Amino acid sequence: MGKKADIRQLEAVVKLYKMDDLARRAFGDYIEECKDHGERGSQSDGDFT
Amino acid sequence: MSTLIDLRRIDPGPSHSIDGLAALLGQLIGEPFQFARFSYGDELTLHFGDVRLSDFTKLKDRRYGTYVLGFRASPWVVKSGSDPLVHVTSEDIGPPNAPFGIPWNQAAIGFGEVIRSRSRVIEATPFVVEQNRVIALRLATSDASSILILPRPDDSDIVQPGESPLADWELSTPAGLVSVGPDLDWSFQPRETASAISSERNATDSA
Repeated sequence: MGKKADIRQLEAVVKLYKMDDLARRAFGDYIEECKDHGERGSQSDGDFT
Repeated sequence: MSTLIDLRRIDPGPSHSIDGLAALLGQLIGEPFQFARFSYGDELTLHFGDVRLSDFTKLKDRRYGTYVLGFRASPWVVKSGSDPLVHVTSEDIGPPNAPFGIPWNQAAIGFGEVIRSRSRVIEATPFVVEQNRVIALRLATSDASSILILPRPDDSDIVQPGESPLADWELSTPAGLVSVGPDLDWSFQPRETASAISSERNATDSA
């Protein structure tokens, strides 16, 4: 089951950049791909937000 | 009697009729199931219709169905028509300690073993779950598989100022986005013109 808090974080970025649903899906997949490749976000725990 | 549904003129109307939503979902009928993928936040997405490659430069090899059903954060059940398999997402709608249940390793068990690839949607029925005041969805495919999305109200989910409520589930279509929930609301956002989308994508790619 999807994690509501995580999806909300993505939605915040989507709203900021006024993405449509196709861009939103692609952006989410891109972040997942980054995580799969071991990339980490700028937060201390590696979070992307 | 036959009915023409003009996807350029969809208006849920003040009553947000479930029949209107059902008519809108009718465009899924006959579309082949292609694949499933978990997206950001462990959201399950099912891809139907023709497969296209992403337009985004950073995702050139990523495949998408013409129709993408997004389960957002809602519980779901998938029943295989070809094998005696039932996949359940949460303890809310499945036995938590069934002696025959095993944790589903998302990487090891593909949806191709559950829903036969290229099987076609033969039913797409939204229905109201009165006790929870949500709109659920049942899809059936030609291999006798079925997919249920069963949203649940979440009292602990507080929408912060500036945030929009998260939909319970959604369907991305060539004509636009169908968003369902929370509660008994649904909406249809027509797709913008190709040029507008293109400029938006360029902005996204450079972000």
